[in-house]
Parts: sequence; C-alpha cells; structure tokens
Amino acid sequence: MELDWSILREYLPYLIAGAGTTLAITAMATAIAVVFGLVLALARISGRRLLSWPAYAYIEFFRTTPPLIQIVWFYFVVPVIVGFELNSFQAASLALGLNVAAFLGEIFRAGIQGVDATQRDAAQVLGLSRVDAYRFVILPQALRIVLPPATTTVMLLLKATSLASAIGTMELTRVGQLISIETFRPFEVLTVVALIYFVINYPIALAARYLERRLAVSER
Amino acid sequence: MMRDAGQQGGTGRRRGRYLAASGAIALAVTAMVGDPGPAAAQDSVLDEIKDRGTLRVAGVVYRPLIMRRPSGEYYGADVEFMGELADELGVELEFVNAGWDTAVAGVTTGKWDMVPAICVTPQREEVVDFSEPYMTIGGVVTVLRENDKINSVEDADRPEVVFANVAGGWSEEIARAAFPNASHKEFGGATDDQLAVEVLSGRADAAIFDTPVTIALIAEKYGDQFKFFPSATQPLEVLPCPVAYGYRQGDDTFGQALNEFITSREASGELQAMFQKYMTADFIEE
Amino acid sequence: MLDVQAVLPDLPFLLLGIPLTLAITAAAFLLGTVAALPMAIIRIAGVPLAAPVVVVWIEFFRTTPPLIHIVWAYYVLPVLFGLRLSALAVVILALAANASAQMAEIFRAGIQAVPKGQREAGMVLGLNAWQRLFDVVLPQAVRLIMAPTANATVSLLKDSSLAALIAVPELMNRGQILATQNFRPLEVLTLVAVLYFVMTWPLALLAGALERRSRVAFRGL
Repeated sequence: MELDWSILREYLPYLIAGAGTTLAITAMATAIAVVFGLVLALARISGRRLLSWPAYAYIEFFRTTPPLIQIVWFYFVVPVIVGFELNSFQAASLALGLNVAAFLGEIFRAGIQGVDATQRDAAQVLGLSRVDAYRFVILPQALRIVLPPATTTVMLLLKATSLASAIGTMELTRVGQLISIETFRPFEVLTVVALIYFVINYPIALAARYLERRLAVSER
Repeated sequence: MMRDAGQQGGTGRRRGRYLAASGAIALAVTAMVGDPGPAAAQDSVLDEIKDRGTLRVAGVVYRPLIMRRPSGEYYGADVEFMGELADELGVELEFVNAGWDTAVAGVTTGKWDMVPAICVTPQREEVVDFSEPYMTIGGVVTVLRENDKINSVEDADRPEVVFANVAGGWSEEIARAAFPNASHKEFGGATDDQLAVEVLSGRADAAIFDTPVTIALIAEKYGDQFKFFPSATQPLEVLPCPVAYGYRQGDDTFGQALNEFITSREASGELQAMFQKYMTADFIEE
Repeated sequence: MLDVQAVLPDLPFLLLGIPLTLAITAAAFLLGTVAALPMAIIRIAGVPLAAPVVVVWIEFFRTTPPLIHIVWAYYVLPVLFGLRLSALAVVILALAANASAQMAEIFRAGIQAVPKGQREAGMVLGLNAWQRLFDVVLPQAVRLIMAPTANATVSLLKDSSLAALIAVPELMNRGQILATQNFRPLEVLTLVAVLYFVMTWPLALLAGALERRSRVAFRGL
C-alpha cells in the first residue's frame, strides 16, 4: 500500500481548525472544572455531612464511569431533563468540565489539606475571618501544591476531548475521520492527527514539569 | 476552627462512604427506573418546526445522499432535497450532529425532527414511522480478490466467513439479514474506509458497501484488489433498502406533509434528476 | 423518558463482556508496569542514547489520546511492520504502551521523592548504585506510588472501553451492539455505566485508602 502524504497539504487547514476546537473545548471545560472543583473541595473539607457526602458521591460517580458515556449522556439526555437544547460543543464541554471537576476537586482538597496547620493557626491568631484566612493565607499556599497535578489533569482533559467525536463535535479526531472517509487514507491521516495532538499538548506537559520543579514543596 | 472531614473517627468515615455510595446508586437507579415517559404529544412536530423556524435533521452520513466535508459542511442529493423541503415549509434547514447508533433514538427524544436517508426495516418500524421511500439502495458484498473463501453470494453465508460492519448502520442490517450464518464483527463509530481497510488487511473476509457510489470510490482507491458479489453494479436482492425519512411515531400530520412533498417531486421528475446528478461515479472526484 | 427496565433482560449479554474488559485492563497494566520501571530508571540515570528515546516515548504517549493509539496501531501496524495482530492484541499493546508512559512517570516521581539523604546514607554505608536503588530507594518509593498506581488502573479500566472501536466484544462494544438492536441506546448506556462503576469503585476505594495511608501531599501527579 503506497502512502500519499500530499493530500495532507490540502486538508491541513481543516485539521488546524479541528485542533482549534479541541483547544476551545479544553479551555471551556477547564474553566468549568476549576470553579466546580473548588466548590467540591470546600464541600468535602467543610466537615458538614450534608455538603461532603453529596460531593463525595458526585466525585466517585464521575471518576469511575467512562467519560465517553458521560458525553453521550449530556448530549442526549440532559437537554430533555433541563428543557433546552445542547449542541455537541456545549454538551462535550459541559460533560468533560463536570468530569474533570471531580478530579480537580480531589487535587484541590489534597492541596488545601496539605497546607501546614500552623498557617491556619497563625491566621486565626492574627484575627483573620475564615474567608480572609482562605483568601490570603491558605489558598495561595495550596496553589503551589496544586498546580503540577492540576496541569497534568488539563493534559488528560485535552486528550479526552477526542471522545467528543462520538457526538459529532468537529474537533481534531472527528475532522480526521471525515478526511479519512473522503480520501480512504486512514494511515496518513491518523499519523498526522497524532502528531498534532502531541504538538498542542506538549507545551502543557512542559509547563507541568516546570511547575513541578519550581514549586517543589519540601516534605514534612 | 474548621474540622476536617478527614479527621473523623475511622468507622464513622467508612460508614459515611458506604452511605454516600449507596445514595449515589439509589439516585442513579431512581433516575433510571422512571416511567416510560409521557404519552406521545398530540400536536405534530410540524407546528414546532414552523414556530422554531428551522427543520432539524439528523446529520448522519450516507453516501451519496448526505455527506460531510472536513470543513463540517453537509452536501449530497438528500441535502439538496431537504433544502427544498425546508423552503416549502418556509423554514431553515439545520443539521444536528448524529451517528447511526443514536439516529433513531434522537427522533424519539426529540433531538431532531427527522432522520434522512434511513432504510426502512421492520425492526425500526416498531419505534419510528417512515415516509414513502424516495429511492432504493443496494448493497454489494466486497471481498479481497485472492480470498478463496468466497466465490459467490452463497459462499458468504457460512460461519467461517467474517463480516465487518458498522454497528447500527444499514450495511450491518443487510449483512445480518442476508448472511445470518456468517460471523459478524461490529465496529462502534467506524467509517466505510475503515471497513475497507479491514477487508484489505485480511482481518475480515467481507463487508457490504453501497453501489454505485462507495463501490466506485473503492475501485478508484484500491484498484483491482477487490471483487464484488453479485457484481460491482448489481446489488443484492435480499433486503434492498428502501430509503425514506424517519420521524416520530404517530405524527401523521408530519408524515403526510413529507409524503406530499416526495410525491410532488417525483411526479415533476425533479427527484430523479437530483439523484442522477449525485449517483454517477464521476461526481466523486475527491 | 428513560425506561431501563426494558433493557434489564439483556443484562447477561452485557455481562459477558466483563471478562474481556478485565483481561484487557490486567494485561495492559502488567505489560505497561513491567516496561515502566526500567524506563523510569533510565530516565533518572540519564543513560546516554537510551534516556532521550525513553523521554520521547513517555512524552508522546502522555500527550496523545489513547483512542488515536488504538486506531493507529490497528490500521498502521499491519502496513508498517507486516504485523497482523488480532484486535485484542492491538488493544492490549496500545493501552500497555500508554500505561507504560503513565507508570514511568509515577515511578520517576516516587523515586525522586525519596529524600536525597537516603541515597547519601546508602553511599556512606558503602552500598553500590544497584543496592542503593533496590534496597533503599525503591522500598520507600513504593509507599508513594501505590495511590497514583491505583488511580492509573482505574483510568486503564475506563480506557479499555475504547476497544469497542475496533470491534473487540468487551462491555462497551456489547453495549453498542445491544443498543442498535433494541433502539434504546441511552438506557443501555446507563446500564453499561453502572457496570463500569461496579468494576472500578472497589479500585477507587483502594486508591483512597492508599492515599490516606501515604500521608504525604503527593505532588507531581
């Protein structure tokens, strides 16, 4: 089977557009995940069962079921439940955002709990309210612990966007499929798609590594 | 001072975990075992369409009726045809991302108003209604030329013969109906080109593609490597696929509108001309 | 809206896919882990020639989606290397390659998290490099890698569902087949999700327990 790489020149713009959508979904889902993940983390450490148990159930559910199923669910079932339509992009972003929120929730929780207890005591001694203690003392320090694993999670999120192809979202994988159908050349197309994923995800991997080194937290 | 949930006593926390988990499962089960839904709405989707101003159609891919470019644009015989339908109804035409495995379910949940280019089968008729068929597609068994296992249509109906199918697709239905004794591999979300590679690499003995369009494409890309049964231009007689529009069960008003549209275009010869334009192999120059 | 009771009678058909799901997960995990330890050591030691190769391998498999790995291996391996493998073998190899990259990073982070003082103490005691690695560093690293490893296994189990794309009749594929036969994709999918939950939850619990036991704010993963 001879290979024909020239076709890719013709289709490269579409692949780049697909990569753009991939990044857009990633950005959208990350925003949702960070906000919701923080809420989950705070719920979990609040000590109030009414908050921490639903948070726990949510986290366990989203972490143990395949994201593919979650994405299809958000596309087909959620619109019926909430009463308004979700297109592929919205459904994928929402599903992945809520999925990753579960992972970030655990990472944030570990980060907050990883901040030395003496910091909290010091904040209290200084007369800071609980909210201020969090805002000015605990969260900034938790950030150092949290950034490396959170960045790795964003890498995983970017990879997971390829599942959005199942509901037709025009991200990189789906565009690759359509090109494949037109050209009957899965080999060339798949290779280029893999390389593009590498190119867009590698900077994030580098960022994670950099943060890991810079923010190395000494062990207690 | 905040109390960490993580600092509660061991048993208390474990009990908490189990409770939360069973709560999660109970919630999921309750959500699942709901009633089968309200009775089908009495008003037709036609009114919804006119109110909304758009006709929402499942964006399935089925050569040559409805195809999709890597840019996302839909094109094909049926795309043009439905464009005319939308014009007649006075609305815009909108394609909603869909796959064959969920095409029918999307109609029942109202995700889209209708599914185009879908084969009428008794199985599907239990769940959706169909308009009058507006064309018939045939399937051709495609086999690697050197493959001695299959030298006629009858040869394919044996357990040693492996078919590659797309789960939920039309070719799968034909394959299973025409060759019940063969073994069938189901690919979730695969595409025709992947099935072709499957046969090419010898991992499957046969696959069913539509004639003349996909067959022509395959002949162009792979040359002489395949042989076809009954022949490249003659489709199987078993389960010829009458192609129609699928819509919500019981919605007779909408069905009537669709049928009127189809019949009028048939009578005027427009239907014939449109499909002729797309059915020739030359059209596919990509 | 959703009538799951209608699909419950088909549960046995789905259950038949579970052994394959578990087999794929186990095989990919074992292969990946066995490959990962040497890779992590090579990377840390900075072995010339080998280390860059290992780094490229790890970074490539960590940044690209497993879906692409599986489909690529399935369509490209026969062409590139003349390797005609079964779909099952392809899935296991692709996921193992993926797992090896994840596990190599977990091992690396675990090993590097062991305080340098331990290695120095080993040198003072006159242990050579291998002895330091296997008798001093690794035993302590084990404590740190257990939780991330459990999480990686959960990930692997979920990724095994991608085998459906190349017609391996594991749980997800059976779900797809069932859904196209009874036209109830959402109910079937829900059932499939519950089954995945049942399979992965014990692992997730284990991961949680291990995390608490390791008691170190584990950074880097």
